[in-house]
Amino acid sequence: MNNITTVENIILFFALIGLIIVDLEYLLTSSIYSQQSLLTWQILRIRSEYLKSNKIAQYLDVFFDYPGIIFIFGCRLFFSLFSLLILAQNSSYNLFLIFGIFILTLLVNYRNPLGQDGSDQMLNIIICILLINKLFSGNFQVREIGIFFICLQSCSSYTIAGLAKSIGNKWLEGNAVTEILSTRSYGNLYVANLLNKNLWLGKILTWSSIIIETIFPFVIILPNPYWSFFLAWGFLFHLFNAIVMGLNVFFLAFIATYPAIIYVHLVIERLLNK
Amino acid sequence: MLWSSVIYHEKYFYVVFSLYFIWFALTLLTQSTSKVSKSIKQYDFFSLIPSWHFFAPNPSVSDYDILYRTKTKLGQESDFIVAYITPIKTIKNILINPQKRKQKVFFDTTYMLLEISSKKDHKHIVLTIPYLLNLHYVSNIVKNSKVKADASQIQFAIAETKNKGLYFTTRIVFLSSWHEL
Repeated sequence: MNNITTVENIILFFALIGLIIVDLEYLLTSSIYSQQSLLTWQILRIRSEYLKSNKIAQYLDVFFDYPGIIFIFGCRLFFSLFSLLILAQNSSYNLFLIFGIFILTLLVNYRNPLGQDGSDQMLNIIICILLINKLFSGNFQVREIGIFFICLQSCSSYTIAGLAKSIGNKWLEGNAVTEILSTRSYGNLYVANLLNKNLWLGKILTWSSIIIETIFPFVIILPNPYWSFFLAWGFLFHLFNAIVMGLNVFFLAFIATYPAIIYVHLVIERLLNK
Repeated sequence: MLWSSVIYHEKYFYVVFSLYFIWFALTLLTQSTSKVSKSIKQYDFFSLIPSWHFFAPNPSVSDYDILYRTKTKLGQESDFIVAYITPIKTIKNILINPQKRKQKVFFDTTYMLLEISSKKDHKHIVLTIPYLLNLHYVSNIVKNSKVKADASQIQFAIAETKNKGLYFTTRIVFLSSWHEL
């Protein structure tokens, strides 16, 4: 039981740091949620007939309109910081804090259907699973299957991404990484110049990412030391993306799932050795 | 009955297992662009069903910037003015990257507008959320600016820029209708 608690705490540690950065980013760009800016609630609310006329919708306006949305980001930031501070104590407050983070996350997701990325999606899953695990803290089977599910979603994310790349022309031609890193949005001028002058390097990066992502789930069943290659690759892959592409929270959101992968690997290794 | 004694019951394992099974099945079903996937996604109000495509199968190899121009009552059109341009990243973005939120919103609205406009029947595009968000954004830039005080109509455009290594290419990929300010 202690092993699973340690796994959950490490996952939660990285996830909370990710959420803290996310909320700081939201707060630093909070002006885009104002009535005169890009993500105004006045337009987003018209996507639902329910939100146009219902009385409950009028109460939601208080939180979803500006500056109410700042309160939601601020609350979630506070809950995440406090939860991080008391993480090691396994306090019962953690359940309430994670529940609060989960509810606030649902509100943020509902209010902002645009602008989210894969790191937000992985953090959503992690928080939901850890909430269920905290709720059933005395039920080892429920907690273990939660860890297995985080591992499953993490491994499937790599495989699905790899398979999707394998049917893309630019990926198969070997030019995708060079062209992505040549953009202002996700690129870096220095790296782009390097890859444009050395096209073979871009092709190696492109094809290797397709292959390793697709076969990533082998991390669960390969023996030592081969399985650790995948985790090392993943660590460096996400670190590279954070430094070059600005995908900072991706590093935290996906590294947060690695304790679950390691746990599942050890469980399967024990079963195979019996 | 205390919750702590209730939660040990075996049946909760099956309930939670079923939840995760359904969740993962929905995850797999929504990875394609099929009608089933779109039907499921429209009920995913809280974004709990992930999409794991990540720049695939069509990677993001262009930058998209938002431009606008105005027209006076006499019909005089202005040049295109930049409303939003994708910023270049700095070293601090490794730790915190707030500009990526706005950038991603523009990217999402651009992607949706290009998808809608590629269909045969896209007359209703002016009523879609991505269109209205962009129109609202550029309209408020003009309304809050003293420079275009005589503007009576506005039009926005999306420009696509590609880095070809030795040079850049830019072209307009979307042009809105003219709208009253």
